[in-house]
Amino acid sequence: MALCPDESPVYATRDGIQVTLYANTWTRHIQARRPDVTKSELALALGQPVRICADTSFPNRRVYQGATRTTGFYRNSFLLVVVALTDEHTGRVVTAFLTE
Amino acid sequence: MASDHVLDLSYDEDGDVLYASLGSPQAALSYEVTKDIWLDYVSPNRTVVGVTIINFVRHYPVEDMEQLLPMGREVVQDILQQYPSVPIVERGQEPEMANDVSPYVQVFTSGTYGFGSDRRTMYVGGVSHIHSPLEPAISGSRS
Repeated sequence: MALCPDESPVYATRDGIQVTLYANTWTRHIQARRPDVTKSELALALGQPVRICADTSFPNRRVYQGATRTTGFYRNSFLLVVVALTDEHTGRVVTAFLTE
Repeated sequence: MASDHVLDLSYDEDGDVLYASLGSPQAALSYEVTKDIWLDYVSPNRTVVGVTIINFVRHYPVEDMEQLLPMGREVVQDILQQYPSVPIVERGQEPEMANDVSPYVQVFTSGTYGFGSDRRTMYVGGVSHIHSPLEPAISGSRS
């Protein structure tokens, strides 16, 4: 994981994309709206996903599915991270949420 | 009753995501009720406590950005009225749409999950192709 000057981490995904989690997106939106989602869980979903899905409606979008939670709050749920590709090798986190 | 709570909205302009919650945001699960519209709900009654809309402006074009939040509020209120709670979808009872027209295409699986072993959500149910190994699948998905 690299770190941008504005403390926006960049994660290398399983499929070779460098994905930036912008500080503003994380603090003002994802963290504020999803108090149960942690940055480390998000990083794991990107780096070690169970599934990666493309979206035929939005070719620049990719969705990463994290591992199923085995303990704690909302056990058996898993994290989905929506990524917008900015080019062939880079992207940004759009949002993330728990689902089951 | 959900409508007793104040609707708290925010918009992520960079990601084009509208977030709404009834009262303060809380730990919740999300369910994609239709393309890009996710209902945030809590147990045990699957009561909807929030809505997240991805690609909001693309779905609901706004000429004047000052009108975005007021319009978002109307959109969210309509959704909340329509979906006060998230319906329970049993395995094998997913809507036909999940298999036929969902736009999601799987491009990678870790192998720890067998395809079809977990089809509780429209998202997973919408997977229509499995590619392996990874690299050709990724190339193919961009063509």
